[in-house]
Amino acid sequence: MSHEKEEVIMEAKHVTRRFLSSDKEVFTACSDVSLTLYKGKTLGIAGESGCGKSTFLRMLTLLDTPDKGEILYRGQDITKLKGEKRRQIRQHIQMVFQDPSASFHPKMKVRDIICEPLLNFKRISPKEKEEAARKLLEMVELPEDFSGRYPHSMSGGQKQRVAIARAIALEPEVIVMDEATSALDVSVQKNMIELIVRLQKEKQTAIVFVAHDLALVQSFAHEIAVMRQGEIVEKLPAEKLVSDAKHPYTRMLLESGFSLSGSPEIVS
Amino acid sequence: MKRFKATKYAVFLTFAVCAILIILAAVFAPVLCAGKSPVDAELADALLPPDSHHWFGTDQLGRDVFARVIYGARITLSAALAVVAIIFVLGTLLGILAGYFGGIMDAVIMRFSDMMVSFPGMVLAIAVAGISGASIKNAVIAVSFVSWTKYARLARSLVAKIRHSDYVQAAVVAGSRQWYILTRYMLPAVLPTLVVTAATDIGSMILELAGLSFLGFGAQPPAPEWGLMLNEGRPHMQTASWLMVFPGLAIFLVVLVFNFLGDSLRDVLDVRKE
Amino acid sequence: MLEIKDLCVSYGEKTVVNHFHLKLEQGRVCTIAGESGSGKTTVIRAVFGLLAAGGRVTAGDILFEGKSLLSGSKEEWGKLRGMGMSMIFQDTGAMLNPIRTIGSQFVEYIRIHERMPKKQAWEKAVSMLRRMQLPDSERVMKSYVFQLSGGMRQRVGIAMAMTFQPKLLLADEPTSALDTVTQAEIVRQMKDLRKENTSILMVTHNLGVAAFMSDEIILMKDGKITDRGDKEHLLKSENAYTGKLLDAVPVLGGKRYVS
Repeated sequence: MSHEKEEVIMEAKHVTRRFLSSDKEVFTACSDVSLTLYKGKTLGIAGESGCGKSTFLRMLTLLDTPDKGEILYRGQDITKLKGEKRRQIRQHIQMVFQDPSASFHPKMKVRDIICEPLLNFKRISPKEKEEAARKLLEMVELPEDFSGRYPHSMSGGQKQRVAIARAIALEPEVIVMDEATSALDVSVQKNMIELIVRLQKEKQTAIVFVAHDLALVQSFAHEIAVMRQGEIVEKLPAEKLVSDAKHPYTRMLLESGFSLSGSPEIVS
Repeated sequence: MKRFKATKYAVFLTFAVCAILIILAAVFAPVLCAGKSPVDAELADALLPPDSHHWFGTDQLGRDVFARVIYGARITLSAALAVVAIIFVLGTLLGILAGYFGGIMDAVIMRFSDMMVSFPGMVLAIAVAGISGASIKNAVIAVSFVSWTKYARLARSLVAKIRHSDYVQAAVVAGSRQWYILTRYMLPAVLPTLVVTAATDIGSMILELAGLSFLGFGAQPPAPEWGLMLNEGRPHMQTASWLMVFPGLAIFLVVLVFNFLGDSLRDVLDVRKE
Repeated sequence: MLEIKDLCVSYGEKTVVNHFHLKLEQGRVCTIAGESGSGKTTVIRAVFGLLAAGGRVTAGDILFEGKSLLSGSKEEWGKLRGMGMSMIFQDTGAMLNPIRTIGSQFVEYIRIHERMPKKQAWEKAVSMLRRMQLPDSERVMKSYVFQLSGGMRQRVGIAMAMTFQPKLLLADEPTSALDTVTQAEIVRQMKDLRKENTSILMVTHNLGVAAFMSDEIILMKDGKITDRGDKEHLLKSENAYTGKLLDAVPVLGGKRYVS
C-alpha cells in the first residue's frame, strides 16, 4: 500500500519498553516497534494477550514512556515533554478503554464524564455543559436524557458509547482503542464498529484499534500490524490480509479463528 | 432489606443526636450550670456529697463537681476534636500524595511514618511536656504527632488501589490536571473510610488525652479536665467517691457515644458504596 | 441421555428461561448460543443443580438417563456431579484454590469421589493431564494456579472434569477467556472427547465455535428459543434474529466497513 498521498499524524520509531519482573528478569514488552498513523485511517494491531499491544498503546497516550525510540506527533517527539506541554498534547490523542464498566468515575454522571475533557481544556464553560453533553450524546446515538444518568445503570454497549463520546469530545486527531468491543455481544459490537467508522469518516480521525480477533480487526482497519512477544512480525493492508500474509505466526492466527462456514486448520 | 437500611439510619441518627447533645452541653455550659463557676473555690463547702444544690457534690476546694464536669466537656471535646482534625487532614493529605506519586515522595513519607509508629505516644508527650511545658496544647501536638500515620497508611493503600485503574487513567488521558485528579478522584475514594476512622477515633483520642492529663502532662490545674479531675479526686477516693465517679462516668459515656457513632456511620456509608 | 422438558426458570419475579426443551443423545454435542441476558447460562446451571441464589425451576423437568433430577434428592444429584456429569467454566483458575498446588487439589478431588490411595490418585491425575496433552504433567501437578497460562488452566479443568468419564460434560463459555490460538486447541480437544462417548452441552456466545463443534445449535434470546438446528440449517435459516447474529460476526475476508 502506498502512503504517498496520506498525511502522517503520528509515528512511533523504534520504540522499546522493558520491565523488570519480580524475579529481577528483564521483560521486553515492546521491542523496536515502528508504526505510522495516517489521517482518517485505522491501524489495526492484532496479537494475543501479553504480546505488548497494551503497553504500546499506553506509550502512545503518554501514560507510559519508552526506554528507547521516539513517538512523534506531527513531527514533534512527545515522549520527552513534561508538565503543561505534555498535558496540552493530550487533547489530540484520546483513548477508549477495554472494560466499559471500569472506565468511569463511579460517582460521576454521564454529563460530567463526557464534558470533563472539554472543561479540562477550557473549550466550554461549566454553563455550556448541558448543551455540549447533548450534542455529544447525539453523535454517539444515545438519547439526550442519558446526560443525567450514572453509567452503572446502563448496558455494556451504552457505556462504551459514552466512552466514545468522551474520546471524541475534544475532536482529537488520534483515538486509541484497546479491545474496545471485546466485552460486548456481537450484535452490539457490530453497531459499535459502524459508529466508529461513521465518526471516522466525519472527522477524519486516525484510529488505532487493538484486538486479538483478527477477523474483527480486518473488518474495518485499513492497515494491520500483527504483534507477537513485543515485536511487529508483519504489517500489511487489511484487504490483502488473507491473501498476502506470509509470516507463519500471522497464518497461524488466521487459521485459528472459527467461522461458521469453514473450520480452522491448525499448523502444528 | 429496606427495613434493615432504615434501621441503620435510625441507629446512626440516634447516636448523632446524642453526640450533638454532648456538644451543645459543652457550648451552653454556663446556662446548664446556672452561673456556677467551675474554678471558683469555696473552701467552706469542700467535699460536700451530692445534694439538691450541688448535684455532683463538691471537691476538695469546694468547687461544684457538676459545673466542672460540664465545663470539662469543653476542654476534652475541643482537644479531642482538634487532634482528630489535625491527624485526619495531615494523614489524608500525606497518604494521598504518597500513594499517588509513589517513588521518592512515597518512600520519604512512609519511612517518616514508620518512625512515628515506632515511637510510643506517651513517651513523646512526656518529652514535649518536658521541653515546652505541660499544657493541653502540647498534649494535642504530641498525640497528633504520632497518630496521623494510621490515616496516611489507609489513604495511601486506598489511593494505590485505584491509581492505575482504567477510570483514573482515562482522566489523565482526558487532560485532567494533577490537582483535579487528586481532589476529584483520589479524595472521594478515600473519604468514606477515613471519615469513619476519624469518627471512631474521637473516643480513643478522648481517652488518650484524659490519660495524659491524669498523669499531669496535659491540662493543668485549675482547668476542669476530666482526666485531671480523676487525678485530683484520687486521694479522696475512700471518703468522697463522687470526685472520681462523675468525671469517670462522663468519660465513659462520651467515649461510648462517639464509638457507637463511628460504627453506625460505617454501616451507613457502606450502604452507599453498593 | 439428557432430556430437558419445557423448562422454565425464574429469578424472583423475572422469568429468565421460558419453555426450554432439548434432547441430547450419547456422544452428541449440543450448543446453546445467544447474547448476554438470553438465559443460556441459566439452562446449564439448572441441569447441574447450581442455580444462583434466588433462582428456581418453576415448570418442566430435567431427565438424566430417564430419571428426573428435580424430583430426586439433593444427595442423589450431588453424587451424579463428578461421576455422571461434570462441568467446566469460563476460567477454571478462579475455581481452584490459589495457595494450593494443582496436584493436591486434583488428588483431593479424585479421593472425594472414589476411595483410593493417594499415590494411585496422583498417578491417575497425571495420566489425565497427559491425555489433555499438557506437556510435563508432573510439573503441572506441582504448580500453583498463577504459574499456568489460561490455556493450561482450562486443560487442567477439563482433565479434572473428565476424570471419571462422565456421560455428560457441561461447559459454560469454556474458551471465552482464551486467545484465538489457544481457543482453537481447546475446542479441538473438546471435540475429541466425543470419541470417549461423552455428550457435551455447551454454552457460548461464539457462533463460530458453536458451528465447529456441535451437532445441534440452539439460539436463545430473552429466555426463549428462537432457532435450532445444525450448522447448515442456521446458515440457511430465514429467522430474522439468526440472520442478524450471523451478519454481526466478523469473518476473515468477509464484509468490510471501510475501503
